[in-house]
Amino acid sequence: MIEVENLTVRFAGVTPIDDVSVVFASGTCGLIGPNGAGKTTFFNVLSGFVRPAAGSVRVFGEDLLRMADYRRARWGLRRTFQTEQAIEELSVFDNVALIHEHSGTKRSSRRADVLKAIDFVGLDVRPSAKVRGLGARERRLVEVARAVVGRPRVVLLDEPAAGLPDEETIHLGEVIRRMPVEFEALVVLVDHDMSLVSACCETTAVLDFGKLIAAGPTADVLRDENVMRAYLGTEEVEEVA
Amino acid sequence: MPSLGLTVFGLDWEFLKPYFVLGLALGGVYALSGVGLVVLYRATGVVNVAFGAVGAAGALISYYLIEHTGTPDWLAFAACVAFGGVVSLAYGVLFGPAFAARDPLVKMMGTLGLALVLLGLMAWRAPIGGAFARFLTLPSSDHRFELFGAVVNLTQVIALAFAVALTAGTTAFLRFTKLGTAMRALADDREITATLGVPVRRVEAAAWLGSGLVCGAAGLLLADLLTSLDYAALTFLVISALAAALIGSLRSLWVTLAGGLAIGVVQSVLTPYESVARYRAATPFVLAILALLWLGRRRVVTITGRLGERVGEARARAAPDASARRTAGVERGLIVRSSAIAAFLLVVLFVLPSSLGADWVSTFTSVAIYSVVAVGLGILYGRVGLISLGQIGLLVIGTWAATRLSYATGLPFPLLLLAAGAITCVIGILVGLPALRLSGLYLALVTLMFAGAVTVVLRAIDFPNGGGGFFGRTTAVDLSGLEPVRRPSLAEGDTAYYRYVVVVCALMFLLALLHVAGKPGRAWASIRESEPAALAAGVNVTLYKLWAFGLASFVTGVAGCLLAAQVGQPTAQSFPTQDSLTLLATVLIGGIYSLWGAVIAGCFIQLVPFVFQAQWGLNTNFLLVVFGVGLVQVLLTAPGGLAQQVPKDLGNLGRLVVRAFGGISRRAA
Repeated sequence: MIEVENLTVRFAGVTPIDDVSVVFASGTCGLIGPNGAGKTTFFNVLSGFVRPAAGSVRVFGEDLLRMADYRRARWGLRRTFQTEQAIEELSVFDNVALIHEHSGTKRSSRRADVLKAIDFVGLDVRPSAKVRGLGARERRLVEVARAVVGRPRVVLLDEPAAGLPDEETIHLGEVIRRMPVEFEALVVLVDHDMSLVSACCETTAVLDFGKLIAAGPTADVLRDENVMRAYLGTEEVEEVA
Repeated sequence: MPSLGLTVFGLDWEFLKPYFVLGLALGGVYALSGVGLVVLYRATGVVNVAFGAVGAAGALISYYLIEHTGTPDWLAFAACVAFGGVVSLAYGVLFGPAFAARDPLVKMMGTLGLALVLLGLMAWRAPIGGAFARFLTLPSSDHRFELFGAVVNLTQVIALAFAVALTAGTTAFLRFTKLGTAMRALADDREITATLGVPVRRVEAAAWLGSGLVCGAAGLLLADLLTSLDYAALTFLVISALAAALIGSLRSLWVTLAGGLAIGVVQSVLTPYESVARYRAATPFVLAILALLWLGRRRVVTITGRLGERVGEARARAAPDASARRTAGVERGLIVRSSAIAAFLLVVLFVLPSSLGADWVSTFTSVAIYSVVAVGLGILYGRVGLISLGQIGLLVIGTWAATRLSYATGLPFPLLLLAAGAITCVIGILVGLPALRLSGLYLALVTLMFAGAVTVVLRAIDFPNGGGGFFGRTTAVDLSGLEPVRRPSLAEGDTAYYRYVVVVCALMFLLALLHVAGKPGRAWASIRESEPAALAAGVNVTLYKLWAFGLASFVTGVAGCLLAAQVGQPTAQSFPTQDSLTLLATVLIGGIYSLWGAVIAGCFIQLVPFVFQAQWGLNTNFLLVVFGVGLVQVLLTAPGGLAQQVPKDLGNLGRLVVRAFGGISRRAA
């Protein structure tokens, strides 16, 4: 459970997150909003790259903001980035093992855990292949595998489906849906693909210009008038409905 | 004049005043060069480390015109300034666009190539030897007058006035002219400026020309102001000028001017203080390092930033590679590689020493030692993306520690190795501390300042001097009677020692390999790819960067110890400042991402010059030209160096041959 209270982030002259209070309870939760709404900034606060001006973030009862940035991964925080950050010069296995060896999990189970994560995301290349030789879809899956290895407790996915063709997005959706069950982790999904969000998330929160404008069951939120006005546009509303 | 009664650290101000005036004159020259560097950096993003070399070459040309062709003085002086402008412009026009989109660090290393080429040409065509010295005197130097108790000449006044005028003029130029505005826009964002219709290349060319003219003028003034026209000293004066530029954070012209003057004044005023006077030449470096630490006091994590460049960044991103799905070949590759290494070691250990003469054995000992130094640099740049220009400085520290410990204690040689490694490791980590706060370019400059400071301290303490005890000094002029640094008891002879060195070096390679293939190697790879992603992956970025510095320094220190015992009595002359530059160039040419590249680099530094000089009697300084050209070539077209390029080219050649023969045999059938 992530409890966010009165969170405010200020950069010189802009307030990308403005007094947001929201709770991500369990399972897979959506976080949507138009470009510049503050979604990635929110993830950066959770990762420790951005220090908020005010507010608190508690994850499963612990004060996340007081943890050093690199310690958060050891605690169980995982994330993927908008632009994929798999390490080109390492193999698929080493890419995933890197997370495992800094997660504080037992060394003896590393091989099995890493292979399980690679298998879980449905990556069909050999683990010793270098990431440099992989295509966009495979790199994305490597990054998702990195996010679920080594006892994750909170997984933040930042537009994991961006740039993927439809059938890949459907596969990714299945993987995301199975995450909370398989790893007992809370998943927060940021994406612009509404069909992916509705397929994966029971609840969704909506940000617009740094403010929380709606939160609740995904289907209700997507029908919310404020959300439609801020974000969806009429054509897409018909599609979702 | 009545004394004001003001004392500065125990000395009367009246007494210090002449030093202050002389310091201003010296500082004017630093400031002048510093401003020239900042102008170019602001317009093109290039830190031009060839600044000193271009000026030195111009001054040398001027000298030859006057002494050997009877050219009128004023024409020769003009030729120097023009040379600076033309060479800088030519480099900027030829290579500027190719480097434009690259990391500032890579841009700087490109000019390192130019510096090596010029330095090599000067050392090759106009060597300095023995008591021979050249003098280039400007007519203004004959006008002397007294100012506040110090005798100054007109050239010194001109240097200071020129620095102030240049600062004021450039500031006005950047603010009020169309070209100046274009340059400022360019510094901000090259691509956006281009879309706004600014002729980017022409503006950059103008910046190169302008800074080149300043560079020629600075060379001329410096050649006069230094005691003699010494091109090496002039070339490395760029480090002091960079110090001034760094104090101005490579941005502010007025702060650079003030920084240059401050450096000059501090350096000069320290002269009468006996306890520190010996080290006063280190002033620019110390002040620059302090300035950098001040700049980096707030740690900044860039969200999308990446240290260094990706292996293949210069090339287009490779298409997905079919071999990713192939399963065979891995095991076979491993076997081929390990047997190649085993065969290589066997040849190096047993075939080479028995089939070659004593001087060859000693050369190969040096090759092995320098390849370990290259490994250290390879870890820092190739793995973590941190560049260090101070590796030779660390090597010297290792040599010094080993020499002193050998005289002061009876430690067995293996312990000496470990101790030298440990001491160097600690110092390397201390040098690396700023790395945690500074971006790649600034780190490279910090290590350059460190290398400069080490050189000064070495000269001051009369490195390493063979007196007894740890800090003992001998006053004997002839050091040949002193006992050499001891060698391991089981390897006293040259051939035995050679084998010992090869084994130790192989162990250092193994240590590096274990790191690279293990947990630290993966952590380094993630840091190099993206620092935020590494943090999000739970990598303690601070710890692993320091670890890289520690490891690189440790192996360098061990290499220093091996070197001390090899030469017996190391002297400061064994470590010329230019070696730091040559080392970087050869390591990049050899291949920064591969351990084989380190071996190739060791051969380039030690074996190739030996072959040319001792075997064929050639002047080896032309090699610097080759290294300089090679460095630029590698940076632009083959980032993996020879270690990656040669197998690839051989593979391509093989396929061509197979295809050609296949065609012939098909036709025959």
